[in-house]
Amino acid sequence: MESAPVPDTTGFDPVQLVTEHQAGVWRYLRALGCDPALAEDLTQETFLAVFQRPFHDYNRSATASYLRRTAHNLFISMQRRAGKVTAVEDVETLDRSWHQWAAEDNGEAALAALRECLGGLSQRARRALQLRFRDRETRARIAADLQITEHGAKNLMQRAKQRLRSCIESKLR
Amino acid sequence: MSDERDPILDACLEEVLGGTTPPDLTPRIMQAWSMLPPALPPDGPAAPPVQGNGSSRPPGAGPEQHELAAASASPHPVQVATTARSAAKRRASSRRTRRWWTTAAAIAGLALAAIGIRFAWQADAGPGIAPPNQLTQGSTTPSVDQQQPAPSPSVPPSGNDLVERLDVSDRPTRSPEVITPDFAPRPPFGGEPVPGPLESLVDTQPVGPPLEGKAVVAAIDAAIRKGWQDHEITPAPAAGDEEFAVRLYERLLGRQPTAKELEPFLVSRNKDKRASLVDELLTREENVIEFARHWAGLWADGLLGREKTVAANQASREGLEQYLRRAIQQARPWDQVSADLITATGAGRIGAEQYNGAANFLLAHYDLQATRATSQVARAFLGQRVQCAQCHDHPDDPALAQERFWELNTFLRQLDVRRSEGPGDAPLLTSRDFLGDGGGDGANAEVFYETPSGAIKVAYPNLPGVDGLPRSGVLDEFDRRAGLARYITSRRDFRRAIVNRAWAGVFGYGFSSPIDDLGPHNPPSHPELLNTLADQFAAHDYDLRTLVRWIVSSESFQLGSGAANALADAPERGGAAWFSRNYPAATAGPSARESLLAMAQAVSEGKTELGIGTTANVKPAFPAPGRLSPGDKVKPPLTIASPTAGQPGNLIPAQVQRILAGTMDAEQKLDHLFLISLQRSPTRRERALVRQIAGNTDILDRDALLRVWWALDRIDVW
Repeated sequence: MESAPVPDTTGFDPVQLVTEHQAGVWRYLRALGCDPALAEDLTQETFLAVFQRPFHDYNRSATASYLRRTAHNLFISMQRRAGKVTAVEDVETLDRSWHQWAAEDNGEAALAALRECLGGLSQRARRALQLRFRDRETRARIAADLQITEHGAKNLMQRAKQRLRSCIESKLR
Repeated sequence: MSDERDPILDACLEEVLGGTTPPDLTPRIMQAWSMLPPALPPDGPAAPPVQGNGSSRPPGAGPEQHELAAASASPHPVQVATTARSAAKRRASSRRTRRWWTTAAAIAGLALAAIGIRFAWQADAGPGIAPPNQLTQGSTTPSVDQQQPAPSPSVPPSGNDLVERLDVSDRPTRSPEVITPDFAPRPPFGGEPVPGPLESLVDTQPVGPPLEGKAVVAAIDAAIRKGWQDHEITPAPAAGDEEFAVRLYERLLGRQPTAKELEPFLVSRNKDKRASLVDELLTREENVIEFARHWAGLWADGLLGREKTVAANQASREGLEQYLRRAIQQARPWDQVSADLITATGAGRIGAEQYNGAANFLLAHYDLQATRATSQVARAFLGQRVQCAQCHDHPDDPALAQERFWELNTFLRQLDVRRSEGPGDAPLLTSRDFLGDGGGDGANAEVFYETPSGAIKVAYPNLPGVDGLPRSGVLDEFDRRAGLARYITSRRDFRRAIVNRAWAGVFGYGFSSPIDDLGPHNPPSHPELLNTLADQFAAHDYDLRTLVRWIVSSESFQLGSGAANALADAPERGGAAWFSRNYPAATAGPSARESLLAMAQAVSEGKTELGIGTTANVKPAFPAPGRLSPGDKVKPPLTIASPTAGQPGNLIPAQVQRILAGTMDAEQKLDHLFLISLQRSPTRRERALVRQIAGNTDILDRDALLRVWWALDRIDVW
C-alpha cells in the first residue's frame, strides 16, 4: 500500500472539469433513478463535494470514475435519509452496464446508437415507446391507443427494449 | 434487473424521445462554489468571484453555506440538500449575499471617508506622518486590478457571461497529493514493472521432512493429551467397536454402515481391526467414491455456503461438487485443487460449453468490485475473515488494516463474468485486463477505496512478506489470480486453514471457532498441533485422504461420546473444543434463509421468551443413527429459542456486543451482523424476514438484532 503516484502536473481547471463531466454525472444520476431536477441538484453537489477535497485531474477516465462514485455516494446518502432502500445488486448491475455504455464518452455513443436502433423497430413498437417516454402516457392509455391489452402493451415495450439493448450493445462493441 | 425496468436504457429513451437532455450547470455550480466558505488549507484553491461584484468571495457566509460546505466535506456519508430545500436556501443565501455587500460597501465608504478626513487632518499636522500608500495597505477595498485579473486563455468559452469572466489561471493550484497521504509511502519498485515468473510469491520456507503416519498420529495424541492435562479434563472412555465403526462410516462416507458391512468388523479378533477398517474405507475403490462424494459435499458447503440453490451468476453447486469429487477421487494434491478454484475460468453449469466445475466458486461470489470474492478467498484458503476490513481496520486484528483488504482485492479485479448471449448459454467466468479504477492503460492498475474518514485511497497488488510485485493489470504481463494462487497455496496459513477445516469435518469442531477465523484475535486451541499437521500435510503432498487418515487414527477419535466432566469440554456451548470425547455435533446446519424464517415464525407465534439454556439453543445435533442415507445433508430441527430472555452477556461474542452497543444506525448494525456471520450483506428476501423478526416494523431494536444474530449464529458450523 502506498500513496497515489505524484502527478506530473499541478492544479486543475474547475470550469473545464464541470463542462467536460457534467453530462456524464447527470446521466448517471438519471440512470440511478433521479428525476431531472434531483439529478441537477446532485450533479451540483457532486462537483462541490469534489472541489472541497484534495483533488487532481489525472486523466479523463479516472476523474469520471471518481465523480461517478461521489455522485453514487450522494445518491445513496439521500436515499437513506429519505428512508428508501436501494438494492445493492441493482446498483452493481447498473454500474456494470454503465461501464459498457457510457464510461468513456458520457454516453454520447450509446445515445447515437439508440437513435439508429430506434429506426429498426416496428412502427407499433416505436409508437409505444414514444407514448411511454415522450408523452408519459400510462400503460392503459398506450394499450388503448394501440388497441391491444395492457399486458400486450407491456410485452410489446419489453420486447422493443430488449431489441434496442441488443442493438446498442452490438454497435458499442 | 428485470427487463421491465432498464434504468440506463430508460434514461436514454427519455433523453432521445422525451428531450430530457442534460442542462449546462456550469454557471450554477461555479456560483454555488463561490458562496462556499473555504474548506481547504490556505494553499488550496480559492473559489471564483461572484458574478457582478468583481471581488473575492464574501467573508462570513451565512449558515446555509456553512452547512453546504460541511455537507461536501463530510466524510461519510456525504450530506446533500434536497431539491426544494437547497433551491430555497440558495435563493435565501443569494438575497443575504446582496444584503451583505450592500452593508459592506456602506461600511467601506464610511471607513474611506474617515481615513480621508484623518489623512487631511494629519497632512495639516506636519511631518512624521506615514505616506499614503502605507495607510491604504490595510484597506478593506482592494483595487479593481487586484480583484479582476484578465481572463485566462485556458478557460474554455462556455457562452455564459459569468463563466467567461471567471479566471481560474491565477488561482493557487491544488496540492499534488491526490489521496490523503496519512500513511507512509513506500519507495517505488525499482522501475521494472513486471518480474518474470513470480518466484517471489512462493513461500520457500521448508516444511520439514515427511514423518511416518504413526509419528504424526503420536504427535496428535501428545498435543491433545497436553490440552486435557492443562485444563484438567478427564477424557471419555474408549468407544466400543460398534460405536467406533458407525462413527467412522458417518464421518468418512457420510452414511451408516449396513449390517453386512458391520458384522465382519465386529466379529474380527484382529488387534489392528480398527486400522484395517480405516484403511478399507479410504482405499477400496467403491469406498473412495463414497468418501469423495461426502467430502466434496462438505467442501462445497465451505466454499458456497449451505444454500441449496446458488442464484448468483447461475453458479452450480452440482458443478462444483462434481469437480471436487473427481479431485478427491483422483487424490489430487489440495494445493492444486485450491489453485484451480482461485484461477478457474469457464462456465459453471454441467454440460455447458467451456464447462469447468471449479469456476463455480468465484462465479458464485463474483461482484463488480470483487469484494465478496476477496472475503471468500481469504476465508476459504487463508482461514481469515477479512470482510470487516473492507470498510475499516479490523477491530481485533491489528495486522488486518483496511488497506490489506483492498490490496488483496486488487488480485481479483481481473475477474469478469461474461453474460449469456443466448437463452441456453451459461455465464462464463473469465479473466480480462484490469485497467484500474481510474482507467488508463493498465500499467498501474489501481483500486480506489474510501476510508471511514471519507478519504479516497489507492491500493496496488501487495501481499505480506512479498516485495516488488508488478502493478500491471494487463493479463499478459501479470495474471494476478495466478499470482495470488501461488502465494496462498505456499503459505502456512493456507495449510492451517485446510487442516482446521478437515479436522472439523471429522470431529464437528475445529481448533478455532469459527473455523475460518484464525488469527491473533482468535487463537486456535492447539496451535502447535495445528502447525505440525499443517506442515506434515504439505510434506505429504497435500493429500486429503492421508490427512483424514491421521485424524481418524488419533486417540481422540477412538473415544466415546460421553464424559464425566462434559461441561469442561463443551464446544456446543461456545467454549473451545478439547477433543476429550466425540461430540454429537453436526457438520451441517440450516441455511441463512431457513434459520431467519424459523426465527420469524417463532416471533410470530410469540415464542420469544424461551431463554437460553434449553437444548434448543445449542448447535444442532446429528440425527439418530440409521436415519442417514448416502449423500444426505444433516438437518437439525428448526426450533429457535430467543436469546433475549435471561441471556448472559458473556455468551454473546464481544464483536457482536460491540456492534449492538455501537453508535451505528440499526441498518448498519444489521449489515455488520451479516458481514461477520456470512461475509455479505443481507439480501432483499432476508431483509424482509428481518422485518418480520422485528415484529413487522421497520424499527430494529436491540432485541430484534439479537434475534437476528441468534438465527445467523446457528448457520456457522462447518
